[in-house]
Amino acid sequence: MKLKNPLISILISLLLTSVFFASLLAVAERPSVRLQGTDRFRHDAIYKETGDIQVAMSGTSRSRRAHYAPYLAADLEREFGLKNPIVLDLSLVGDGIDAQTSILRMLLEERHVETVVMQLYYKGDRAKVTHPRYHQIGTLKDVLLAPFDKNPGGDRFPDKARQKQGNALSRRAQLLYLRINGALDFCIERFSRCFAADQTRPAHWFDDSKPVTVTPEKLSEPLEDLAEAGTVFFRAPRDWELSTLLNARTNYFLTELINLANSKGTDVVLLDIPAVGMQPLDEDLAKEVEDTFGVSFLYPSREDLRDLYFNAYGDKAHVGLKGEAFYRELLIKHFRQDSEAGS
Amino acid sequence: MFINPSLYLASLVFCLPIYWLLFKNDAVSRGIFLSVFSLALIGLLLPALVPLTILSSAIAYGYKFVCKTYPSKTVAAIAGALQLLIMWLPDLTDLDKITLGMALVGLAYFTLRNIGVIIDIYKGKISPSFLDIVFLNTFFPTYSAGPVENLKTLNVNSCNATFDTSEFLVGIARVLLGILKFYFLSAVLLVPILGEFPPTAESAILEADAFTIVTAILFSWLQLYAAFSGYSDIAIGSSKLFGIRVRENFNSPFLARNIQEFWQRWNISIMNFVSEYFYLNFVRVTGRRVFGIFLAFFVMGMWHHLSWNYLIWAFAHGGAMALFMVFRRSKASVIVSDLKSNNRGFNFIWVSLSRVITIFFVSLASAIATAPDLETGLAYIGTFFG
Repeated sequence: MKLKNPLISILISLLLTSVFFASLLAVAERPSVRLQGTDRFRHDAIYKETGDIQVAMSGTSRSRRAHYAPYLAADLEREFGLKNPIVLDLSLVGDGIDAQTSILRMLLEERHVETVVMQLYYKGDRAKVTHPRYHQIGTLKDVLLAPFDKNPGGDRFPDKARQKQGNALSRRAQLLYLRINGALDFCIERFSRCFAADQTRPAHWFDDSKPVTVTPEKLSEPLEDLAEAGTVFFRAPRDWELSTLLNARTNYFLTELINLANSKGTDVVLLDIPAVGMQPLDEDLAKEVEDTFGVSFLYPSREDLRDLYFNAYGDKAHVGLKGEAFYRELLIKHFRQDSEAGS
Repeated sequence: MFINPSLYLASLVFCLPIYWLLFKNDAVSRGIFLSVFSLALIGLLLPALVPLTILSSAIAYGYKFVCKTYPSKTVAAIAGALQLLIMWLPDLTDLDKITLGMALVGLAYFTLRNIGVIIDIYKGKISPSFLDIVFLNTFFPTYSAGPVENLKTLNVNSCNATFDTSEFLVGIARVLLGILKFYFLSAVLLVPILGEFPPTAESAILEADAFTIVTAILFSWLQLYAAFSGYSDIAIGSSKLFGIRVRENFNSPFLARNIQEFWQRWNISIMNFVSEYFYLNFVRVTGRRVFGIFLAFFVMGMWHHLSWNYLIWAFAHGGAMALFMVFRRSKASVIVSDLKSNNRGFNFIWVSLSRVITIFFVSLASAIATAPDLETGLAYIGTFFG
């Protein structure tokens, strides 16, 4: 084809180039690409299994340790007479509310979930974290539109000081670049599998949910801290302002999740799980969050924490068996109230 | 080439059928397509590079018209200085240098090429179209690390080739060779061997013994050679796939017997470029060869990075080259030549020693240049000679 008008050549070139990148972005949007790697368990739980889910949970390791899914399922069965309730723990996607909510949104799009329980980060570095694989796990819309925090901590861009709102365009371009690369890596991996010998071993399942068995002597670590500090709430007070608890990025992802949950008839429960020594959640703030988003926000009271810090933490950040029972009961109590209100 | 090999290879696989089948016998359309596609790739890496590439090209193109009205050296110098300003933008501002290092290497390349374009326009050697300049600056196989071409050898007319199966196969073989060097020899073998070496902290270098430092800097140089020449092989091979010839960049530099020969074997394209556009012009005007050599290495050093380390590197190479020239003109050189031709044993020892000394010298200079700061760079010398 010989084109005499360079403008036509430019238009055709732009079109072809757009097709190339659009096709790669379309591949990157597929769930199997977004959850490639260590998220096989989550991919299969969302896309290969069937049936309604009673409770789906997401959060950090603190959330995973606070609710052992099979025990919670047993409690639901006993308390509400449900037959084989399904409790799915999707926690430990990694730091970043972006990835936590993305996983839950993928689940809500695919299967009916009665209640979503999400650990809401307290104000701190973690609340500002961009998940290292956010470019892969998030949707294209999220990559293009979600705001970045002014001072993100711990994301894949090493020099925090350089990350300003001003270079958000570059950051988005980098995320797109990584997203396209992720899609290509996936395609190449799939292609290379065609030439590989049949896999005899079953696929690797990243399901590390297991009962927490904390021995009493392990409790000494948090207790030592408490004794040394001379007070139960020895950590610096948390800055209880709605605007600081929910920065623009957290707000965006939370709103996306809650809107989707509302459209699917799913209840959303937010949960605060403090580490040893943290101040309890401020009641007014919890109320403000509940009113703003129309969700429930569960948290241990000051008195609860006094007892929990001394008796129920396996280490400085994670609860042991007693703590696990407490948080399970907190949820059951909420479901009971909901059920009573419904009837 | 770009950071991710999958994206690079996918780009080749996507562009080649369009280039050869859709835009058959249409060099302009081919040039436009490759320029548009390359700009999209560049924008994906760092959006700021797209306007900078276009701005830099526009300055060079604009100079073509300005030159007709004001054909003075001063105007050409201003146009060149504007290119330098763009080249040193990352050094002068806080433009992201760490995560996008490879992309910013491209910045140094296209501004240098445009300085060449300005000089050629000034001398009346070329009258390029805007597309010619954009194509020269964006062609994605050579965008981020060369080989450095000038507009006389790489322009839209370069896309005029007809498909040649044997050339295409040679191109594939060359790309594979490059992958072998770049990803296997450099990344898989040499980088893990090097581990923490060369030590990058000043204290660690000063504590290490001379043997450790020598070994470390020699391996570092070998790794640099494997990566850089592998990269050049991929770029040259990829260009061949489009029927475009770009110049060779390496010719077994480890066989160099002296510093002059080294620069005829290492990063040949940049050396030729600097020689053609800076050294020869300077010598022609001033007649001062030694100063010309220092100027050429100063340009190359500052082109790499605006730092004291590269200034030392430039003086070291310039000094070595000047010393070598003095030696070549001395009586000692004649005596050595006689001894070499009459005594095979002496010839062998002389050549072997020359090769070892040359490689050691360039490795040391390279270690100093790439050290994180001046103190660390000088620590290499301190440890070795101390």
